[in-house]
Amino acid sequence: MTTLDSHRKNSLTAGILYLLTFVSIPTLSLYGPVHDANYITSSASDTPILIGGILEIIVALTGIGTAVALYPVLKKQNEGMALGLVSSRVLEAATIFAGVMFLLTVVTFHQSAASAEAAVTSRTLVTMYDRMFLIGQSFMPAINDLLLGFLLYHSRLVPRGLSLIGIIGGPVLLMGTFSVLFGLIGQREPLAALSAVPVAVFEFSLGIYLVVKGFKPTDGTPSN
Amino acid sequence: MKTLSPKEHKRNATATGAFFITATVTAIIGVILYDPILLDPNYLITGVKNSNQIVLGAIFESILAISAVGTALMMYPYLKNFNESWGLGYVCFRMLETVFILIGILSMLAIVTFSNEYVKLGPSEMQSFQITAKLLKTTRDWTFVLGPHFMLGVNTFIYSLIFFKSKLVPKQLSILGITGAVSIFIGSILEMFGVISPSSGLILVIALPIAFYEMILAVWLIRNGFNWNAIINEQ
Repeated sequence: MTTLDSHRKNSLTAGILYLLTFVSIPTLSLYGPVHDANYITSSASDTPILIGGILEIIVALTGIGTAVALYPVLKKQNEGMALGLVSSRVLEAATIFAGVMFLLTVVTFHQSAASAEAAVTSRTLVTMYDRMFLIGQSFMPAINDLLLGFLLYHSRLVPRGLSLIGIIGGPVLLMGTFSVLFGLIGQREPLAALSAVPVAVFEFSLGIYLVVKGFKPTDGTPSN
Repeated sequence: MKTLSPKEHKRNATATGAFFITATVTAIIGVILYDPILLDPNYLITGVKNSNQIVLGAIFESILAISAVGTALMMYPYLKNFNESWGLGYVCFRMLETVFILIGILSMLAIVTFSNEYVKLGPSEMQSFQITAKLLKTTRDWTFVLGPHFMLGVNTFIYSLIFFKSKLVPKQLSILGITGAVSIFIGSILEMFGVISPSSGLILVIALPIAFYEMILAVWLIRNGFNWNAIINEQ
């Protein structure tokens, strides 16, 4: 396999994985019932939460996948930052997994016909999930996209306008995250979701670009 | 790969095999030591009676976590020569598996501390303690499903597939690995949906091929090392 082919393969894989990370969007509604204060004593179905958990696990694994697929190309630009991206993706996945486990524990409680006292414990777990979400799927992605944005911007592997969306989107999402942490806006308010839009646009268009076009030829990659 | 002598390659393979054996042995000892909490419904009482034994179990599980990452680190140079992204991905996924093991250890140690306070309480406070202890134990049960079952399936699939393609070990061995990985992966999904219980005998049968594979692989690596032709081909 020539280097050019292998670069195309890396960019295609990374692009597909970036698009796959959007499969967790339905969890917003799948996790609706578990946020209900009376969930633990209700007879609501657990299946949506289990499916949501599996979708989130897929996101955690594909998130790592994007970083390791890009690593061989990005390390030519800056090996430390490229490995940093891989590491912070692992941290992100660890927080996602821990969050999923909180909700799975709630499911087990729900299935064992829990008492009203268990409701307090379950609320604690759901609250911990929400806070974990803030760290794992707001704070960490902001850091990841900042790292990736800088690496792509300097390497010119994709159009610089695209990288700039990531570089701008990262701090915007960070501001949103801290606003929620300090209680300025509610986690489930539209403004919080709005702060994630630039990052989502960056990741989605990067995914499309990598699938359709692949990397631009640069010093790091062989030109035709 | 930088020019390593055949002797150094052999040493890497031996270390990989030794990590696999250590991981399996410590995992079994850990579970046996945890028995007073895992099997007894009154685990808050048995937990306090056997607290040293549970802490020892936690130490063995910590060694398991380190050994699991150890297998990935020792294999990385060989996997990376075949495919750098998959090699690095394997190390990352193995680390996720150990994140679960560590959360499980944390939950077990918390139950021990908790049970020490529980036995000093009056009946009125006992119920809320029981619920929180159940929370910790349920968390530990889920870490077991997601770590040593689900993630182990994913991880074993990745490296066995690379073994198969690169011929680093005999093909029959990598096929056994892929079979065992798929088996435990399906088992973990069934556990998640409550089709089979994580404490049932059935899950032991489902986990058998992968346990068998890891031991044969370990012995193979210690005796023969990685296939020399595969190493040369990729240089």
